[in-house]
Amino acid sequence: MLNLSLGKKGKIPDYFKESQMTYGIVTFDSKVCTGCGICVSICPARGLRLTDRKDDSGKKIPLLIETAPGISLCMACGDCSAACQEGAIRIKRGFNAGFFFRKLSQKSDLTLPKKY
Amino acid sequence: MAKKTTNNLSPLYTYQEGMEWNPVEKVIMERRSIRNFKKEPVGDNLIRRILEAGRFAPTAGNAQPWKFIVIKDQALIAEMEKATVTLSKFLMWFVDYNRNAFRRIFLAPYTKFLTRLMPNKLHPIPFNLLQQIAAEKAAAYHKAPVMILLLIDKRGIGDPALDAGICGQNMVLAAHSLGLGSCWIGMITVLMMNPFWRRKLGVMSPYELTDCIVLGWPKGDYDGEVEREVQLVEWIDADGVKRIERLGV
Repeated sequence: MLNLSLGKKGKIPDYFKESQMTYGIVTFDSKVCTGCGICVSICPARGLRLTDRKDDSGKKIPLLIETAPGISLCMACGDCSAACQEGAIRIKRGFNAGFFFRKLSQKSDLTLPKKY
Repeated sequence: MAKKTTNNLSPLYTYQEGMEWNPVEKVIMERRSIRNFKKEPVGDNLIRRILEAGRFAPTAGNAQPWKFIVIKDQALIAEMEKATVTLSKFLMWFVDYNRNAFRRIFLAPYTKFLTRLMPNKLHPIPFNLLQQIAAEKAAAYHKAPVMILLLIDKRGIGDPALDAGICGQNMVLAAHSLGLGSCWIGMITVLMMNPFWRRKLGVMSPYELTDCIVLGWPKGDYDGEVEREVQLVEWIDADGVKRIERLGV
């Protein structure tokens, strides 16, 4: 368990500062992605959009919307990766707010359900 | 990512180490919240079957502190959606400090003070969602064909909200196992701040409404296992020996 000092426990983080928040990061494998946009339509936070321009192979690859520098809307729920038919989406980093909202008994690494 | 692969599910009521999921576990692991629904209506008896799963949920002291309201009126749901947008615009005007430099300097301390008072309501995730709804980029009710309002009887035993939560999850899992998609919507709290909507939906004391479930046939296949955070679990074994284990690795 993580023990935070009183000052860190009490401070409410600034939601739009990269140093105080850890938003999720999703990566899109541009080789496998077909640009169907199912992830954009399913995202609970509406935090994804397709690129404006087509890339070299004529596809529009999704990307994370940034509301402030280094700040996305992703909460690492994984809905997009479950919905993707091609398996092109991976969650690279989970969501964790800083200071007051910091999770105490979770680790940042993510795993699939394990059959014990 | 992991898609639905197993057809060789384990039978119920047995356990061997490392065996495949049984049907119940499979539904639990592969349930994803669905926010994309077909327009197709859901049959009344199917809804009744799902409500039945909720009726038999465990509650403290068998209090069953709930009341269900099923909404199938699309016009009403559209109206609720519109009202939610209006209300979130109103609320965000007071707290959104990410709009301009002036707000960042003068509004941020005030919003942080409010966050301390209502940490659950102004947590970054609902804050961002409210912002998105106010900007009309995200939907609150996802044009679902059916909505089940899960009213809590405040006079229940212990923590009635917890009982209602168990009841709701029973319904969600039952719905999922029947092929329907579902999603918990907590954003209805915004609507419940307005007495007009409380009266309109019949949410009167001793009942209160904090969560609802939307149901419908999913447009596409969204189910599958996802990655979740590794948990540090504390075990207290015999003789008070403590150890911390990483769960899920």
